[in-house]
Amino acid sequence: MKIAITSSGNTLDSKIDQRFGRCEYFVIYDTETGDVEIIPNSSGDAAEGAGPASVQLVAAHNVKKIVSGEFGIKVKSLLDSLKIQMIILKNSEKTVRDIIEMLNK
Amino acid sequence: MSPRPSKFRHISKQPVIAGMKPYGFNGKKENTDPVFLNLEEFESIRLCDHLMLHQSQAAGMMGVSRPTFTRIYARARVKIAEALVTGKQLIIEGGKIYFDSSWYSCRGCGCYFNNPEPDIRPEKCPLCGSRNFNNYELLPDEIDVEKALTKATFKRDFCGKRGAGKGRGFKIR
Repeated sequence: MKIAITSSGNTLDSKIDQRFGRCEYFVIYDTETGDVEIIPNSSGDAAEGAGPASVQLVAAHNVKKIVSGEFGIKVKSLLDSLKIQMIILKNSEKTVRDIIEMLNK
Repeated sequence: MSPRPSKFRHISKQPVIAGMKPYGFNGKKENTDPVFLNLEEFESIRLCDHLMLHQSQAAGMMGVSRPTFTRIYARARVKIAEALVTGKQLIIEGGKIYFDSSWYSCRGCGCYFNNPEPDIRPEKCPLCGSRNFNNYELLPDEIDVEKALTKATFKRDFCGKRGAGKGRGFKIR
């Protein structure tokens, strides 16, 4: 199963991004193989509709869960209909590596 | 020209029963077709008659306009009355509706997560694997009631400073 984590940098030691639609990078982690893929969020600078565009990007990678700090109102209903689980981790200083370790526990 | 498609109605709570059956029927058996009550109609009855909300508040919670809500509500009452008076079975199903998925908060890692599969209750927190989590109410009722109230005040302003009584709305020339 693939899990997306919003990241503020392109390394595993960067912190989790508090926003979903306008995060810098998505880290896509595969729980079965342990593969990690980092993709830049191209829609982060869009004036409008960054959330839905990001959903499209993430859904194209067959992600089943997303870890982020916050999800917008458009994104929530969209992810509900796509049956992707949202995990909200608010005000967290955790790095992406910490979260991957938590997921493996 | 085809009419504008109707909006999806938001349902806050699923009914606890799938329908109702009459008992002790002692009239003439004529037409025993069941009456189908939509989920949106059920929700209108729940909000207006059970929670005692105003129609404008209830309309805000269901995400439809107040006149539309009144039409849904009127339809619901007609159907319930028909079932009650003629002794028909009442079945609650269908409707153009959507639910909010349920949210949980984990005490282990402090995260919030939703459950995309409404039929299965999650066994453990998807992040830290802890079993110490509970239902997290987003309090949609409270937020939406507030929104509905501001909407109602806005409507009142439209009518000028006149009250809700005689001579409200447009001026008579």
